[in-house]
Amino acid sequence: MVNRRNAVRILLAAALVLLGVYLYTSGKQHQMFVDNMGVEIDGRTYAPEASVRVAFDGGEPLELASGDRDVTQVVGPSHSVKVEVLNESGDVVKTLEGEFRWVSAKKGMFSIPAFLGGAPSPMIDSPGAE
Amino acid sequence: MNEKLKAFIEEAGWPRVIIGLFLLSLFVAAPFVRVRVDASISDTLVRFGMNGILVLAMVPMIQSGCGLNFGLPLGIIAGLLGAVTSIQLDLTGVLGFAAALGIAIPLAVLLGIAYGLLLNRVKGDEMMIATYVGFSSVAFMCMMWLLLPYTSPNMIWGYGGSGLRTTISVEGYWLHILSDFLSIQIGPYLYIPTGMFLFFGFMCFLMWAFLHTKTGTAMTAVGSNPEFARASGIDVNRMRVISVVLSTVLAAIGIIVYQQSFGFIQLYMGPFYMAFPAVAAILLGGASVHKASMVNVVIGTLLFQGILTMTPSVINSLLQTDMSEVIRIVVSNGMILYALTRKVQVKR
Amino acid sequence: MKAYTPKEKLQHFLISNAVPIIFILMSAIAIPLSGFSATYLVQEMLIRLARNSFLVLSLIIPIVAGMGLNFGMVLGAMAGQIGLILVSDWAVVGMRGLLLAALIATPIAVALGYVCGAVLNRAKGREMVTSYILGFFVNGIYQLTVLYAFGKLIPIANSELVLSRGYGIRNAINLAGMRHGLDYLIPLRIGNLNVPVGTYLTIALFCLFIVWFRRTKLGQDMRAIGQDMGVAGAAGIPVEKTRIIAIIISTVLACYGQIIFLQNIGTMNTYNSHDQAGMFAIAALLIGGATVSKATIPNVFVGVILFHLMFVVSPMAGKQLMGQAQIGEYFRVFVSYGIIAISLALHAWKRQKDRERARRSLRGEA
Repeated sequence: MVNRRNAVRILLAAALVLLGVYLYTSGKQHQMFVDNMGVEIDGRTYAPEASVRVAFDGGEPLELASGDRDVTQVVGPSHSVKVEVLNESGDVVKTLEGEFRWVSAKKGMFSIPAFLGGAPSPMIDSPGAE
Repeated sequence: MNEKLKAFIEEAGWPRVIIGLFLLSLFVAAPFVRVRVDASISDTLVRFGMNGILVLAMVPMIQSGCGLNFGLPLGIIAGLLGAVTSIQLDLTGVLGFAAALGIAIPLAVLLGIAYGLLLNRVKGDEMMIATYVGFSSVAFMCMMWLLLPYTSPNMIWGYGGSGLRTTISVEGYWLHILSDFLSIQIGPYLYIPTGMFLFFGFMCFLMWAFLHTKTGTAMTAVGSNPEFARASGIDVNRMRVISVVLSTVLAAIGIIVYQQSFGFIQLYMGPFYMAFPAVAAILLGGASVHKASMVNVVIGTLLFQGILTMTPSVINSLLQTDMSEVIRIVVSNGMILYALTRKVQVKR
Repeated sequence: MKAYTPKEKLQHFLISNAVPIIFILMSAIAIPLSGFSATYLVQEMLIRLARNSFLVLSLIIPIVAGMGLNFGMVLGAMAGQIGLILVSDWAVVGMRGLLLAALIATPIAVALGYVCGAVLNRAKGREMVTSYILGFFVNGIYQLTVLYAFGKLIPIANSELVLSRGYGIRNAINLAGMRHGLDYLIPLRIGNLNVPVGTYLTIALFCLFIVWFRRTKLGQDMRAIGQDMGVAGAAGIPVEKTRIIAIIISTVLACYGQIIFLQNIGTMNTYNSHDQAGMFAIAALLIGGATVSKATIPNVFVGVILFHLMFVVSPMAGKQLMGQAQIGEYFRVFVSYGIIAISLALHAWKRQKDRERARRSLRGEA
């Protein structure tokens, strides 16, 4: 029987399911690798910086030298990032802020050179994926 | 035929039928998974003897209308005190066993009277209160086991020097004193603890005889119709106290028999959940919340202990996991739940 | 109608609040013995108030409906734990994780609550034992699910949650991602103490809910059923259905209560947490002066504070007094069970006396 009462119930159930989906996607914590190595995407190569400092979603910054790889946790599907390129004495030479979206656990590595070089997405294949 | 089967299931109740079939299938499956049937039967028999009297302890209170005695730990505590004191006095063999009983029984009578007087004031709510009386007495004794001035080096903590151990071996005192009396050993696996069975049989006989005395019939009358009993001049409260005392005394005897077979006295939280298997067993045997017989005790204990012995060995070899604990919880509490929800339904 | 003298009033007050008064006296003796500082105890009580109040509050509605102490609240706690296990497997963190856990657990809690209510309808007059045994029974099914189905039938990706044999959930689960998710949702620090504002607000909301609920049609129906099932039925109140609803509400709330409790603690004992939840909540409510047939919101808070005061203090007091902390620990177990036994007994006794008096007056008039 599709009367008003049942319709309300179905709508309510659907709303709760949607809320669940929203909570799942927006609250899911991902393990993300952060990489400062040379990388090739779609035929373009991006060279690493000598030393960078990177912070995700306004959190604790990580410092990576050329060839370094680190791991961090991010929550949810879209993120802000702030990359500061440092010179030898540790001063900030260049700052770049931007947004990116989480793709999948398979593409779970944030490539700093790709981000600084303006690649369409900074996310590249995770080291464990292959 | 079909009608007869239906009537039988109706009579026995579907949980009992399911559990009976389950046990049967376990015995059938046992040889296929290389579990020795004779060893299993032997285990079942030993456990049957160990637990029989504890289950028997349910009978008087059920008969007098006090419900299922979830307060069994109270009597068990009396038994523990008797056992521990007998070891403290360094009494061995039959003498030690008799001393344990001799100390435990008067204690159980005293505790039983107090417990019975309490239950007389809470008619209708006996079971819940009994549960918590049992629990709190166990917790109280936990403190006492630490504080009581027992000194036998076999019982106290080695390093601390004070307080009793959680498990105390009765080896060298009265281990298997009943079990080994006239015991029969067939082949390397099958062992029948005749003495324990004789003792259990004797207790059942006493209980049966008691229920046929004037006091016993009066007690049953109180259970089946308190108003009628009162009208015919029976002192309802006195009958109830007698039943509680009997139950408590049987629990005390039961635990000592249990220990002499098991080999250890378990103190502290040991007796905590001991009421539940006994309650489940008698219900499994066909008793209800207000009616129980010796047949219920024997069948129930055999079935319940059969399941407890067979599930670990058979299910383990079948599925490679130990599910016995979970099965025990589901079976025993399911049985109690069935009995609790059934009586009202029949009445209506 | 005669007016009460102050002395009679005092007497009445003392009798009706005997349990809390005894506990206050006991604490007054035990606190100096334990040697804990006042600031420590206040902090500890603030934390425990946040941690436990919700669980205890969930017991109120069945009492209003005359169903006694809902020992079946452990069913709700189990549902909450299943939600938390799944969410920690999916690594959903923070407040969103807790909400998702609650969202998943709600249908389970509703189903379990329905079963519990239906079973209790078949055991009228002995709801408490029945719900108590039902708790054990469902605990068996919970273990079956968590120990055997999780990781086999229900996929668990996170190997940290799974036993080394490949299925079944480990004994202890670290809820680090969700820890204090609700507590510190709204950050506030007083001195060096983080105040769990979020949890307090939730508890306050819940209290308002109870106050409001009692005034609704459903709440009034429940009260009528609590007073006399027969009369309520004759007045056209659907007794059985209303009783089921009371238990469902209690179960669902206990489920949220358990989630709040565990997010505050931060680790979950997969196979023990729910058992303790039931016992502690019931003991706390009774210590607060509630009875099987009457419980108010102040009972809950007084009870939580007194019970946990004893809980914190008694091991240390036992150590100072007897030289063994173990004694204090057994003492608090003894008190938790003893208080339940005494409260139940007193209540049953009083009810029996009332019945006898009623019978006598009937006979007298006839």
